[in-house]
Amino acid sequence: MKIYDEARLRLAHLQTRRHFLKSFSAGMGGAALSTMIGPSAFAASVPGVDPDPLAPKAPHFAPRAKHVIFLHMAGAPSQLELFDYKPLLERLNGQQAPESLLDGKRFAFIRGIPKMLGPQATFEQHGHSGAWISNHLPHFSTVADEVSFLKAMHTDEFNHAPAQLFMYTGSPRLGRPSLGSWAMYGLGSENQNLPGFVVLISGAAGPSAGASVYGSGFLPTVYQGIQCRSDGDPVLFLSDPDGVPRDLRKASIEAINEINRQQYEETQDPEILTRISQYELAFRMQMSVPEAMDIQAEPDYIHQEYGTAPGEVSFGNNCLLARRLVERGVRFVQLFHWGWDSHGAGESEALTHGFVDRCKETDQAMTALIVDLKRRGLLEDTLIVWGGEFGRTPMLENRSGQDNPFVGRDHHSDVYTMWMAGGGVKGGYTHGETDEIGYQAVSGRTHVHDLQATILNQLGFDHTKLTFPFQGRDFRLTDVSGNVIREILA
Amino acid sequence: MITPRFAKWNLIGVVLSLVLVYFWIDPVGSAVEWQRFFGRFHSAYAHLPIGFLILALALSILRAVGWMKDGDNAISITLVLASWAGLQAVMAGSWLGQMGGYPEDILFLHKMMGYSVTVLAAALLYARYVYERRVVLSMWGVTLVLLTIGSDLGGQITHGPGYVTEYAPSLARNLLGHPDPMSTRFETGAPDSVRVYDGIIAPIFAEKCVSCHGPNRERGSLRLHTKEAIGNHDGDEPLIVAGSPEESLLIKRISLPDGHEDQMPPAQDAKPISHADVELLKWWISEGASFEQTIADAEMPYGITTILQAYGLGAIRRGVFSLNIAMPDTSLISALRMTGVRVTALAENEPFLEVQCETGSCLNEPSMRELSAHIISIDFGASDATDEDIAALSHFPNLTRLDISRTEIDGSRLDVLADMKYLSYLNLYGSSVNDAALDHIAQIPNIAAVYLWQTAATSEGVERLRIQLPEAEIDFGN
Repeated sequence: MKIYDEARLRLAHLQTRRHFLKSFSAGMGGAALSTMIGPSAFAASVPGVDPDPLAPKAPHFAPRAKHVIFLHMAGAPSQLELFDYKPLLERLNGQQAPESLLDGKRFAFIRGIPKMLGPQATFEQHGHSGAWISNHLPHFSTVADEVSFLKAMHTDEFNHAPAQLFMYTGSPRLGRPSLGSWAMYGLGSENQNLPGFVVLISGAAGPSAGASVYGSGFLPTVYQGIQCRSDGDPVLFLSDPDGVPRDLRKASIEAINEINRQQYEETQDPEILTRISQYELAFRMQMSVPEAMDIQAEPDYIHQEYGTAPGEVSFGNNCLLARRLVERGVRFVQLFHWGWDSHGAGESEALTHGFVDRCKETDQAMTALIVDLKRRGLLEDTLIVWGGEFGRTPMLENRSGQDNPFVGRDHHSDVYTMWMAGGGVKGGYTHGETDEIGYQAVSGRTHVHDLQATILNQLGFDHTKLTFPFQGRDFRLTDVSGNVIREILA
Repeated sequence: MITPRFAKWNLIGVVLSLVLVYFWIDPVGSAVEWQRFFGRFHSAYAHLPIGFLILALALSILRAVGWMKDGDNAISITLVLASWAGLQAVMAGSWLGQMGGYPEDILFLHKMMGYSVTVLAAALLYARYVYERRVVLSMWGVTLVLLTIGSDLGGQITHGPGYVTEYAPSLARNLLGHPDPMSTRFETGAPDSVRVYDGIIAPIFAEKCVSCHGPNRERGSLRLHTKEAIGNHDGDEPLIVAGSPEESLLIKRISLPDGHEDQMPPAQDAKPISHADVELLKWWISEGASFEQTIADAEMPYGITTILQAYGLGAIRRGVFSLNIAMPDTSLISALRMTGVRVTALAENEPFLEVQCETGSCLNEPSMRELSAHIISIDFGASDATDEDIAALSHFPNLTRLDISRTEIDGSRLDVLADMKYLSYLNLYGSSVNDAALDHIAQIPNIAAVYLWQTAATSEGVERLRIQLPEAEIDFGN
């Protein structure tokens, strides 16, 4: 896009509020006219803006995955208690970390010379692939041969909010579109009655970076993630107010949209298109979302497999919802489950207590999700991604410096484990290796931008070409880096 | 003073010396150490006669236009120097050539140019005393042409073909016949018919190895110029271990570090082999070191694809993608969408479509039938599709994916799938297909995944199907 086009776009943005008010004062007069003009009259005249932003679009090349379910373990689970088995660390337990290990390193909380901390779990090899999985994940161990482990992931950030932003927007600072928004921008929505990008949150808190991790940044806001709830109204403020029948609602939305269309023709502001399609989507969603979100409709054995708790907010419910949404054509389902920040300062964040609880909350449901998608033939084109925003140190964190009955680990950005399953990713494969204490990568090091490039690749995109013009240059999710992790692709 | 007599004897002396050099320095012989040392100065010596000749020409022109009154003798002295400097360059060049690693045909031409220019320098001196100006002028013309060609050949030998013209305007480059070397090095244009060995491996051997290990020379009793020569190699260690590049002597020797005395090609002789070439040779060996396998038939890891794309390899399309199908008619797609069928294009610039139907009757829509070659995926999931509807699938021969899950069908008409050679995914979960239908599924030639959870099929039937289709993933929900 030329700078001139962008200037026009910016102008349209600036004009919005003023013209909106003007249009209100002018009243409803133009509505009748715009019904006669009809939708075909307002084809996009701003480059890069689609008149129907949610219409399905073709990716760059034949995709391997049509859906993504991202299971984000917010707070960053310890890889050393789950997948990255380090017998040497067990022997070093309680010894002081050598200074050479700490030279030039910065940690979020560790100061001075910490002690090493052995694995707070027992490990066994599972499946034909012989993947090491700890006793905290007894269910997940049974599907070891379905997943590809990335054992040497690394990120640029060691605090939760920036690292989460980095994971989803490719930048540690606010303002960039999230992974799901990019997918929506590139692919549109398969199901016109449901949002294409749904966010499901469980645990004691939401992601610390807030809604920006599923926001649309500088992309049109129609591409942002929509948070759905498994309890009460699935989408807040979606139901009709008391005393407003559905046909009246329909008539008023139609009238508002006609006014908005006329306004769009005048100002060419793409945000008006977003508003129109959101009103329309919201109206359709009033019917379809409650149906999709009603997990009570599932048979008992499904509830048992997932370990769901109908009527509560739980990771299990969200996993089951994720399957139901993907089944109905939702492109991108983003799950967050908070509570993995195991510093060891108290029981709830101890590797021996809170961490074990988190494992229990997630193990059965995420395993059931893989198994359930597989037997329905959906795993083949659904990419499941699991991981946190960074890893944990092989050193014990003891913030207070006093006797502490609980153990924990500090944030560690240099190496951690993630896994992917389905969607054209190899099963029973491990990429990347860490050193004997799980402190640094030895081989197969992969960066967050590589992960993002790989997810986009599976959806059919060349991550260097999925761009959006903003502030005079083309932006992309992976900024100026990222390599597709070919090794794990089937 | 240089006299005509001196000029004559100078010419005879130079010609005789050249004849001696020609027979003394055997092109395929081996230079001793001092000769190698001397030979290495060839590229420095080669510029001396060029400089002398140009100086002589410049002085001659100045003299002819009258800007230089005297100086005939200076021109003669310069030509004498040119002829002896030429002889020196020829000797050094012949020794350098003996050290090997240069393309033989170009080397020979270059050598002949060197001889000719040296003789011409001496002959020019003689001609200036004996012949009229016209003859001398035309001799100068010939000298300049040969000098230019000889220099260009020298440049090609040291820097590879097309070095001089690499940055020339494209028009000039095409006139000179030096096309882009990347597009001509390997033959990758027709991956279906060209063999990996002929198109990629043999050119690497020819360029990097055959000057020492070929028809003319057999260093280390190894020849790599023909399939037979490679096959007949008999050494202490196997040259090529099909499937194991790391055990193959060929790969070991070309992967040694710089400075290792066994490194091939030897550092002092030739241009080193590139990392990309080593990767290609390793790939050929790991694929079985076949002389027959075509490029399209070989499993190609991403790294190899990237290397070969730089040499002009286009995308290798397999299965349904190898079909040559025009882009679909957008008005047909619109017509199909009007009937309630959800149509999505597989990807930009791909002619293929995926459709999702809410009713089984969509298969009989005229627009759907007209797009039958384009449609590679049909999703009937949870529709009212019946077994009769399924029979109409025979009109869609290019299907790769078929989803008939959560329907009432019993699978009695799945026999129509037996001809579908691209069909790899068949989802039947939650339908009423029974064991009889599994026999139809066993006939699908390239099926890779069948989903049979919650169907009327029995575990015995599924076990039987697993035996019949050992390569396929048969999911029965257990």
